[in-house]
Amino acid sequence: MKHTVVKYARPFLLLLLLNGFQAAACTTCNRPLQAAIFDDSFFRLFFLMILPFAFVWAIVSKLNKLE
Amino acid sequence: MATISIQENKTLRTGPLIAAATLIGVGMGGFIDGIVLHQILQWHQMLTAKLPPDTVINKEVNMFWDGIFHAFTWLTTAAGILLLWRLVYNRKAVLSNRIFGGGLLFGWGLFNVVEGVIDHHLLVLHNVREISSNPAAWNYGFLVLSLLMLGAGWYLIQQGRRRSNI
Repeated sequence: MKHTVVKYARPFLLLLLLNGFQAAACTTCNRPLQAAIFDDSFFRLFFLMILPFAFVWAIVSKLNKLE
Repeated sequence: MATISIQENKTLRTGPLIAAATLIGVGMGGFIDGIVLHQILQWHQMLTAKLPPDTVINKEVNMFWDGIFHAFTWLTTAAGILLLWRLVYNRKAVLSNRIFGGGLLFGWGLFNVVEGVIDHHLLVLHNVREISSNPAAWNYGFLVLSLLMLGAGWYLIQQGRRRSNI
């Protein structure tokens, strides 16, 4: 029983954290800023932020295999 | 006893050190970009070509994406330190100053080239120096300097590999 609670508590807490991310993003509770950040472009911009790092990580994983 | 050390030497590889140093170089290069160009000199921020920081909200949105950029830079540096610790702990990789220094330089150059091509030239999220009579010249200058760092870093790595008889 305890194991099951722990098993489901972790993803639940993660979900809670992700849901709270928008509200927690601005410490001054600046609603216009939250609206400006978390608009339709949010996930596209997030992907664009990861893109250069993803390229670099892919290259480094190849370098790691060098003799 | 001597045979054992020769056999041990044969299992040593340079790849893990190159990978660790490159990741740390990427991270340190990213922090130099973020701290020096974004914050101290304020030449650009993450989205300044798309969202000019001419209002407080626009400035703060740019600051938010700068933060996301720094978060990924931190994760990359942490991954590099973890790799470095692992290879030192396992003692299965060549430890060479030249490879490590070259890797740092290579990583810095690599990040600048990738970030320059993607963010400055393809997506035009920002320019190296937004307020300038010729932003394209700054972008190409940044790219050329980064390619030189990339080449110099790779040269040092290869020199280190040759000296380590790999």
